Amino acid sequence: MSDFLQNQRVIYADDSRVRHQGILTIKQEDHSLGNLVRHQLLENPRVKFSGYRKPHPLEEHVEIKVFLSIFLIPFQVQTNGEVAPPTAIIQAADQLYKMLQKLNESLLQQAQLFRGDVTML
Amino acid sequence: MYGMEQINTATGFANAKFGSSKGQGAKGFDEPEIRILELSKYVIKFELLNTDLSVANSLRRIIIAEVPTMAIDLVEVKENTSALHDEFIAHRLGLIPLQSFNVDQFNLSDQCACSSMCAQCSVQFKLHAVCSDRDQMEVNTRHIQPLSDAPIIPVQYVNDKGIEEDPILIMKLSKNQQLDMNLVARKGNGKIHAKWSPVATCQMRKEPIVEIDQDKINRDLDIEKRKEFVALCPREVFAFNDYRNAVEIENSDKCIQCIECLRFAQANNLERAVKIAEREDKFVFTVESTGVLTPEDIVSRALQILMRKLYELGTQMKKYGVNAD
Ligand code: SF4
Ligand SMILES: [Zn+2]
Repeated sequence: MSDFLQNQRVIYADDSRVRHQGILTIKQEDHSLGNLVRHQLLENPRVKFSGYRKPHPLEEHVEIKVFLSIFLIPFQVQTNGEVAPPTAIIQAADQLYKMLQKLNESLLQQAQLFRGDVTML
Repeated sequence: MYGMEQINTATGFANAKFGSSKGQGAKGFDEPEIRILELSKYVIKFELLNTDLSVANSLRRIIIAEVPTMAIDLVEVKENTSALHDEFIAHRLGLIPLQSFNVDQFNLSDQCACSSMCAQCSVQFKLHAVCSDRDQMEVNTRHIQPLSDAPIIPVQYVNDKGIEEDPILIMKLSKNQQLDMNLVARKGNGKIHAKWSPVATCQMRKEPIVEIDQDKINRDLDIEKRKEFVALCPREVFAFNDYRNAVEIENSDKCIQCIECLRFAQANNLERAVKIAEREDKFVFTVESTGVLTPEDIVSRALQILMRKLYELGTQMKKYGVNAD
């Protein structure tokens, strides 16, 4: 089991002390993904807290691995509006994915117009 | 402020995310957008609109450090009788930009199935230069001979008129000096070493806002003071209109937020007449490629890398299920 976890890049664990709180660890990632996901989670009104840290700045250099933790505590919206932390993360990733996809499409479209029929290379 | 129906759809997300930070109503938002301002062979300038700092900064970081390219990584020195020592030359060779349009067909060397090196993860070159018949000779990127037909070759810069520039100078040899090396290029990214970074510049800035109360300034300041006000800005944001004898904003885009104008206004009891700020939802990017990839390709690849990361995060999270209690 621990072997299995060690090969995972994304590890999520519920926090046993606080309800609706979990810790997400993404290996080999840094602020680029951490800050993006943290920020997107905060946009979800049902997420109460979301933060990330890189435990040690040098870890990446020594092990070529970066551990990144995202803590989040979604709070319960009175009745049926509640959402579990994994769901919130999936939603955030999904929303960002869709946004970047749109940006990429429009970028390529515009670039083509700019380049005209001149070959790109 | 948040409507429940706005969650979990692409548009609803834009609503919740960007509408809220600017305090706009539910309807008053715009979709995130990229607008190319300039595009040339090596430089792209574009605006990223209606997102926030976290998106813009992630994009910047990925462009600099995580877009993979090819660079010379291993140098086997067979003969070096030049004035420069081996490591010095090897370092220079590493920094030579290699055309990486086909970088996707290669594996990272530590993820490749082979034990040390193969055609899937490396490209071999030969560098052989002898200075026998001259007093001095230049060794440049033309001396780097590919040993395979992989389309990874040193970048040949082309100027605005489409004319090839001189190849990149590596070093000089004087009479009877010789250089004989085997080079191996590998795939990597800027996180590992800056030589793999595809960009020379990746700059991001918020668009400045400069506002002046023209009536107030032109009423309360005499002409000399007005001219002084125009002259004090180091970036020539303001202009003095000789016909109207008035201060005008000429180019607010150039402002560097030095608040020199604000200080002047305060000293002259005109606190409210000058406003300096930055737009929080608009970022202007300038990305200058080293020639290894086209600039728009770099940005597009960076977006795709971010997308891949998020996709992986999303799918990996699904196995943890939705066990809300
Ligand atoms: S802040 Fe500085 S650069 Fe900007 S308008 Fe004022 S004086 Fe000019
Ligand atoms: Zn290999």
